[in-house]
Amino acid sequence: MAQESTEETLFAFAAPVSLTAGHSASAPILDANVPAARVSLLAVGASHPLAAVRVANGTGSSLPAGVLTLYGAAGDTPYAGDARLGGVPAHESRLVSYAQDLRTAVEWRTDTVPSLAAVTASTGVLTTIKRDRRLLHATLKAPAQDPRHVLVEVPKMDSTALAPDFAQPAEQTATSWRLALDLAPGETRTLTFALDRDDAQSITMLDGEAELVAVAGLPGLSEPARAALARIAALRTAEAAATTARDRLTTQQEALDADESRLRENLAALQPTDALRTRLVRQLDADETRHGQLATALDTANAAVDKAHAALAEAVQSLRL
Amino acid sequence: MRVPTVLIPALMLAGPVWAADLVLKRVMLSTAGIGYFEYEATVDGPGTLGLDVKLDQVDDVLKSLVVFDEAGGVGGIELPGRDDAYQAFAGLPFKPGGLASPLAFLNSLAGFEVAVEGPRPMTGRVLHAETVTEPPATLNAPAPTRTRVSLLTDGGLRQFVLEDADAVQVADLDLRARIARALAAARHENGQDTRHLTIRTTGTGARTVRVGYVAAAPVWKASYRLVLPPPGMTPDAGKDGTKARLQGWATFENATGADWSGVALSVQYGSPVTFHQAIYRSYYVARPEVPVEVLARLLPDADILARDSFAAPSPPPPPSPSPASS
Repeated sequence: MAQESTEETLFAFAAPVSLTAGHSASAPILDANVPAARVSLLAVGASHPLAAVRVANGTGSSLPAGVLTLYGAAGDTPYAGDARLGGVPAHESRLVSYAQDLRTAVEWRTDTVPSLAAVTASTGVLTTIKRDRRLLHATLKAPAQDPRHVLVEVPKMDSTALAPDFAQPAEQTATSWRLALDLAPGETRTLTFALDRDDAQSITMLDGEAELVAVAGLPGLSEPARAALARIAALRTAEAAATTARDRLTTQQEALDADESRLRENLAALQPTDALRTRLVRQLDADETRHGQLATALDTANAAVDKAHAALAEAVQSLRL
Repeated sequence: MRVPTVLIPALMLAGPVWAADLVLKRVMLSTAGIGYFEYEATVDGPGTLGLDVKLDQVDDVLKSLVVFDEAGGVGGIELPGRDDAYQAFAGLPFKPGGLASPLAFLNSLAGFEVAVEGPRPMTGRVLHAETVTEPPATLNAPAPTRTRVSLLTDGGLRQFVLEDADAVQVADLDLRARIARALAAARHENGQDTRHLTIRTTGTGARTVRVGYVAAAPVWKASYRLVLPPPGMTPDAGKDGTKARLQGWATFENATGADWSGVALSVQYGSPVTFHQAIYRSYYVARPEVPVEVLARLLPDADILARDSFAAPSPPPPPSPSPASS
């Protein structure tokens, strides 16, 4: 006789118990018919499912955790197997696996399909989500005489989702999805389901030119997105070219400055009557002329760089994908 | 049912009491590793109930024991202390190790008066006991060892050999009684793994008193047998009325140290909060040691020559005038 309280269950033995000190005893606490159904529980990659039975606790009281010995029905194999039963609250059910179902054969095939799940751009940051889709095809063949109700148990893993376009779970636990498949006697059927694993990467479009080009070349990218990224890549190239031209002028100006310094030092070391002095003065005059030209060109180059950078920045900031 | 009365140490109640034995009537074993044990006794008027508890369960009993007395009250519980032997040796000149051998015992009695009976009776205070090795009787015989005890008697220093004496008796009757009590306590400490609890109840009239407590117990184990439903697959249990036969069994042990005879047994499935506390052991609180305030001791330096003594030496007396030349 069981009494169920909020926190615990009490099983009281009807008859008084006598037991010698140090001895052990075993006595029944439960004997009832409970709703049950046979199922086959298939793990991903397994060649055969496990024979299992879904037991519903219709006793009205919780069942403590314990080991389970299963016997076949009348006319069946006397001993079916052992199993473990976790604690089962009243009115809940559990699957109890007790043997390997060698008469149901399973073949597995796996395809991997990489794809670009999404590209987003916002405030200068480009985010790409690459998806590795793992397609699993389980082909099951039921025994000739018996039907099978198969539950394919797919473990839940971090960053992995069951793809919506394929078989969906009939039920799920905290750790797995269960996909159902019914087989008539002798029937062969294939169940296909897919697991998606997404990998997100973000780049700053002002800096990552190579990454930008790589993303623009990804298959699966929409044409407007590809065109927008190509335009940004072109602006990025134009900015790089303007910067290179400006840097070249800067280098020339630095060399000219060095040469002028050298000429001034030499002039300071010569007497006013030295013949070399006239030549150095002429050379210094030419350098000064060139210096003025370079300064003008550098101003133009800096303006070009600023313009290119502004165009790139504006394009990057305004891009929305 | 009355609410259990909180036990108070009102043990010194006068008057005759009804002594009864408690009989185990109810046991509940839990998956939490504890058990509830309930005893019953019939008493008439004030009563004392005896209950033997395994030493390793005394903590749990003292923590959880509850008395249900429909027509009376609870007087309290008394049992030998956990450290009874330690207390019994507190006033003795030796610790339990002093009982390891006659030699150790006699040396721990140094200074106490003993009376020696035997061929050479004497009375005196124990000075020292030692083991001496005597020459063997024959060439290949082992050398015998003897215990020689020195006493300071009224007639001076005397010695006797313990193995030759009939008895050595401690002269002080009070010390002799305390030694006997310490020996009894040591035997209790070492030889018994149970404690006898005396539970006093108050009240009048004949009635049944129940005493219960929670103590550690082996976990009971559940195991099941399931007879499978007939072959054939159905998606959900019970949808088509298919049933399976489920039998559950409880396996348990009687680890109480006493036989169970016709007890009402139940097994509990749950996870209550439960813990153990060494409530039976003596605890002392460490207190800080404060030094006694004393006045500082002074040690003046030895005197040396005062500086005034270094005054400049007196100038030499003026030379005497030269005698006039004649």
